[in-house]
Amino acid sequence: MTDFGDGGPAARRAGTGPRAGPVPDPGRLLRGRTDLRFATLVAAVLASSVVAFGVVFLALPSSERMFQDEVRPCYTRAERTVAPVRDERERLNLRMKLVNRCARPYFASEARWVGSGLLVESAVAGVLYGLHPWWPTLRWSRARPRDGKGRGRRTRLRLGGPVTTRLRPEDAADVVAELDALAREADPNRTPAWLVDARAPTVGGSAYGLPGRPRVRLDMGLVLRRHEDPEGYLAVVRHELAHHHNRDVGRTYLTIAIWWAFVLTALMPFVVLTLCPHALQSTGGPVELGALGAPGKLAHRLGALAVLGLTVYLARNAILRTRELHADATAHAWDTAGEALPDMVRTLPWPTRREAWRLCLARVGRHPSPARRVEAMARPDLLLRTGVWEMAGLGLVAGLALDNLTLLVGNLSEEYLTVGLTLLALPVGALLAGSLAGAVERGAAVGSGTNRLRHLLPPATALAAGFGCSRVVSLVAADLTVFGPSTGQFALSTAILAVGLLLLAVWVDSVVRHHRGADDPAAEHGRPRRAGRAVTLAAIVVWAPPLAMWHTFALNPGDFTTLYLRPFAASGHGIVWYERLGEWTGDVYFYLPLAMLRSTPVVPLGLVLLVAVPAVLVPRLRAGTGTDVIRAVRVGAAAGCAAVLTATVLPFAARAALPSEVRNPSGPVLDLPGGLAFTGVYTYTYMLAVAFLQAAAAAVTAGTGRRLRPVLVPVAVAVTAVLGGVGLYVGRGVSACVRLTGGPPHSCSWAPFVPDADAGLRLQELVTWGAVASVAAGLIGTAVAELTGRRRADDRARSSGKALRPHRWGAVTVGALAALGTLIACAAAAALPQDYAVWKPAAATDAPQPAHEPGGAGGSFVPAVDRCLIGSWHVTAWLRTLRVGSSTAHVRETGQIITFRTDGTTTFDNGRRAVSRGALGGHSLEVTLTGATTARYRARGHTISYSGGAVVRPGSATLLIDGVRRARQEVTPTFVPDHYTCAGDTLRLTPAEAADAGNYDITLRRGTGAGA
Amino acid sequence: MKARGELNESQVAALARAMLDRAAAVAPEQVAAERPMFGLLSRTYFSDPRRALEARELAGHSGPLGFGAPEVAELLTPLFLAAASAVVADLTCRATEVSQELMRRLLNRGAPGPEEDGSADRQVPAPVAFTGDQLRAMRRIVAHTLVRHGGLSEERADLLAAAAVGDAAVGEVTE
Repeated sequence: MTDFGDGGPAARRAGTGPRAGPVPDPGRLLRGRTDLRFATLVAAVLASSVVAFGVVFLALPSSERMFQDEVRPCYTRAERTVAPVRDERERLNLRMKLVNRCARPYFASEARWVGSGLLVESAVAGVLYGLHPWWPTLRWSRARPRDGKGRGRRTRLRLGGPVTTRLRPEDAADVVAELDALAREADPNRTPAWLVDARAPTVGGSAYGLPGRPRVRLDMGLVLRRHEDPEGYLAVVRHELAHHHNRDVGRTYLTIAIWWAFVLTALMPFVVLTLCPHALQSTGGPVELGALGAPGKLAHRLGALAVLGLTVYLARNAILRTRELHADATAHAWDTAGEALPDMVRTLPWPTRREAWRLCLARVGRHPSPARRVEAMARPDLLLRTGVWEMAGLGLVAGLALDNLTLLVGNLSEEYLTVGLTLLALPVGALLAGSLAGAVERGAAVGSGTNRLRHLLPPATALAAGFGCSRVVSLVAADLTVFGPSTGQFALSTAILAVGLLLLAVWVDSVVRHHRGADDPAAEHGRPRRAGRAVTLAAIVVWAPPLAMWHTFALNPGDFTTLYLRPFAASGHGIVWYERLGEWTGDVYFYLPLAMLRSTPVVPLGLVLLVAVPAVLVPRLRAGTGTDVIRAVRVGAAAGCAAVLTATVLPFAARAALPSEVRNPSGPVLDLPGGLAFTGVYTYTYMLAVAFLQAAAAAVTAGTGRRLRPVLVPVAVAVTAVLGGVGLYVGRGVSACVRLTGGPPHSCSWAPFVPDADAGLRLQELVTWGAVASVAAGLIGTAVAELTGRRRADDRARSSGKALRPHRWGAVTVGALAALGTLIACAAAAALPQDYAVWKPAAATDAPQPAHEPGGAGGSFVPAVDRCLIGSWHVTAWLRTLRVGSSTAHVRETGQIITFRTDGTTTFDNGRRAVSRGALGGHSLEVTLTGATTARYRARGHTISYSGGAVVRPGSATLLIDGVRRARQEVTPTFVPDHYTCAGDTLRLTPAEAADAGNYDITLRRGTGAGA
Repeated sequence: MKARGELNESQVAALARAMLDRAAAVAPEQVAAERPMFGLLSRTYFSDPRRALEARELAGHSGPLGFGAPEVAELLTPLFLAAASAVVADLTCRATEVSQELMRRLLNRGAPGPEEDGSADRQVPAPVAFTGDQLRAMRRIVAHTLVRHGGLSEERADLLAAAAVGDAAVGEVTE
């Protein structure tokens, strides 16, 4: 180290002598964190580019031609093709398949366009980055009037920035030698070129330069300071060298270059086409589909643009502030002898509280406050703390990056939509989980051990809020207004996300703190950092998939708030409590987010990891010496035994409570579409009971446990789930023995007791249900324990050493838990084929042959009309046979009006309300129909065929049994070919196909309306 | 023009250097810091004098990875170079024969520069035949330049100008 004497500036504070020792540099950990922020910011900008280029593509004349000439006719043909398909589900699948096929070339073309745009943007960014050493020469500066006074200054862009001059030894040999020596101390392998801005009177410098060519520009004011304050001068130089050492230069300038490339290549055309959507087109074209003219869309887009710009600006500055702090800490660590840099920093100006506006701007600027910088130099470990705003910003930026890619990726995924979007969100889920876990893990090292929730709740909720808000303010949100969530939906989905993230934070905090506890000898041997990484990695593996799934389902906000089965009644022959039970269990079982989650190995494997990782890291768990572990296993086992008992008793109870026609599926059971058969209600009821027991076990474990609740609760849940799985087969065997669902006599054998091929899936489902149920229960148990002061009592007990005594069953418990984890993991693996069957797209039927449409699906539909049919017809009697399970019901309807027109179109109008009535097994049956549909028809040889059905007035079909509404579904344009007999004012319609024979018989009377 | 320009640059640099040296009486720390950098500063100034004098406008623009110090140092060398340019231009307009040596002799009176320290046997320069009006005009030009381009207060500008041109110059000139 060069000795520069002891002369200091007058501003240097008294009493700040040399430090006792070097301050540790936070090093790669902090650099990696800010690198991740940079990458996320760049991803957000590039993802916004995807939206911008997509909008430009939509406005191109070639896109318009493609849409008008190829896509739109193809859509029309697809509608005709699917019209004859009678099964609604089949029809929807086929329609989706055909529509995807139609749009495929269009979306492929859009993807190519967007890819080309991104390439151009990247090239521009590369050029801008390559030119960044010359950026300072181009800047906004104020032109000075001739009189030299300050009046009338104009701001303009000109080449007026600094012109750097290479500092050569012949200019100042001692200065160059001194700087080179300093650079070698910082990094022996990389000495930057020294340049001086001889025109700059400021006392500053700047680090820049292309890879392999680092440069440091020193202002002349700084160089002159060398004479007056050599230590301060060297401190600033060290600060700039630290930027090179920390590899800030490339990332910083590349990020800025990418932003400006985005502005030049994507944002400007996007803004122009947002304001003038038809600037490039002669007609509407596909732009009309984008609903650019929708009310509020322009404001939405411009607002999203403002948010994007503001977010990028604030996020970039936040990252730069962190980099500045890191550079300060690094430079200060190099200067082991003095306090020159803190003293220099203390002299920097900062707005006072009275200057509120300037203070606000300074706080979001590129440089942190001097006080913060001095604090970072004194305590570099504080740099590793993650603030609430930082987490919110990270969530927002990550969400913007993800959301803006959603539309394009979703379109390209076609029928693999859910899979594609989930895979797209997986890296972002990993980013969020890793960031929060890392923040909590570092915070656990810094923070105190009391009131942990106060430390964990803010970052988790901030991350969830930022990520959730991105859905509303992303650039693509204006184009997806149909998926715009209501306030309630937004609050619910964000709350679910926040709870999930809070659980992550609690688990990480608990494991890390206990690993670093006094009872852990590993903490003394430099293992904490490795352990922290292991915990963070485990958190990523466990939480990233659910976070990705959350994002996929949050795209359609109704997924979180819709109970798909509720409109359909369960079978029950009017037994109200049983039907309610069927509804509830069906709601839970078919709740889409939960149904998809239990069709993955995510929760079982996650549960295993939640226990296995701390079991390896925390010696007390590893050795089985904690009584709390034993207690968790006991609680879980007790709940599991209760589950087995329930499984044994339930068949008897069901047999006693329900008549045989309900339990026996071969009987006359009212089994409506979508309704649940007895076996389903029975199974789901048992699974719900096991989930309840798991929740109870979780609550008791959390309420009575001492520490490591986030680890012990999964232990109890897993034990209960496995025993519950055993109970499932016990119940099956008992059911067979008592002939719960009928079956042959003497069917009681060992076979039903033996797990079958579905065992893995069932255990996976039990674990998933239990894990979800135990979240709320665990929180309640914890809250009760906190409120009643049990935890404090337990802490006192633990401090007395009782909890640390080895337990005699410790080794056995650890072995049992290992076997349990292996079993759950194997079950998840065995369930993979069934998981795949759930996640793979539904197989659509091939397009039906146009038997009733000679022109074919793609051909023209030539009207073929029978003059007798033309006009409006009132339904005088509509005899319909409803098939309900194995039973049939005959109902009679009246009130509809059917109109046949000469242009080949027909309308089926239910009027205000068409009612059908009948009877089924002693119960009254009533179907109420509303709404109207239309279609094209052809009448040939006393057969009417239909195509192109559409709803002209939405309505519904409601089923009432004994006056109680049991089912309701939206009216759909379903038409089947009719055989007709028309004579004068009378018309009769019957099924034209043999398969439908006897299903209906409609008698109509000609009305007074023209209808033609 | 080029030859004349080079001649003028040389004259101006010599005159400015002399001014800077004499200004050490008023701002010794500042002058001591700038002396080693005089060559670099003068090269930069002559490459684009206008931009060199507008450099104060750029204060505070340190770039994304700058240190962030908006403190502005007082650079005397560009100001003296500008003042020297104005003086040479003024003298040229007055058709006075000006030479580099003449300037040095004029401004080295009574305030030896660092290169003259210890040179006992160096020949004492001869008196310069400038009138009091000429010297007063030179001092006025220097002070005006310091105020206009350096933003200095009139008092400080007068003080520096007096030091740079010679406060006692008027009394030594032949009337």
